[in-house]
Amino acid sequence: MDEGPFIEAFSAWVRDHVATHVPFVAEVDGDAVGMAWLMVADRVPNSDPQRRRFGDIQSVYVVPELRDRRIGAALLAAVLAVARGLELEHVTVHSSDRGAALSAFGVPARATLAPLVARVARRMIALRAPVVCGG
Amino acid sequence: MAARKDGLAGTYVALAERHNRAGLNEPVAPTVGRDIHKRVTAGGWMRVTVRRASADDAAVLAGLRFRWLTESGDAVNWTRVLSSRLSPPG
Repeated sequence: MDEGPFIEAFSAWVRDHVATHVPFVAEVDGDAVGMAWLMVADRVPNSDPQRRRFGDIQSVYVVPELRDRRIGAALLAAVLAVARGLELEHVTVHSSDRGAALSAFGVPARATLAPLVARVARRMIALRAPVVCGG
Repeated sequence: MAARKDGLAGTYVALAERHNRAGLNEPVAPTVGRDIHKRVTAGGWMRVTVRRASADDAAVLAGLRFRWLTESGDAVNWTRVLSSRLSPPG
């Protein structure tokens, strides 16, 4: 794959989705070394007058040479801080088998069943009190 | 890790280990204020800045995504797939 056309196509995708996919960048000495995304979407309305939105954490990445230094955890801390600021009801994450995202939420990245469980698990983080009317 | 919100709006600062501690898996506690400068200059820590990006960072994000896809071996045909997902012009 040629890098040039990919950069052009992906940049266009970013610009096209910036309203729903909030990006975060981790930098060291001015160099971008990691990223994370917070997808924000509406839930189906109910009688709650408050707008019902939730978030999904996607594509958490740290360059290989700087892994295992908790840069991913710093990214997720910032993502969750913004998610709270946006008053999202909850945030979900679908982790890879590396489990970095799950680890940041207190689930051991290298637990016994981590490669299998982390691939299929969705962990939900409640950010505000549940509303009376469910659904 | 609880990232500390910096003076700049939307910027979060944390510390991470500059040197790999293979096998130790020690948790790294974030520190604030003067401790950051002290530990950075001591060479054992590095300052990681996490900020909310924007459309202006599209190329940077694309570069990271390209590196990821190349690393994982999933790069084949991604440019074509991406192009097909974009809204038609106009």
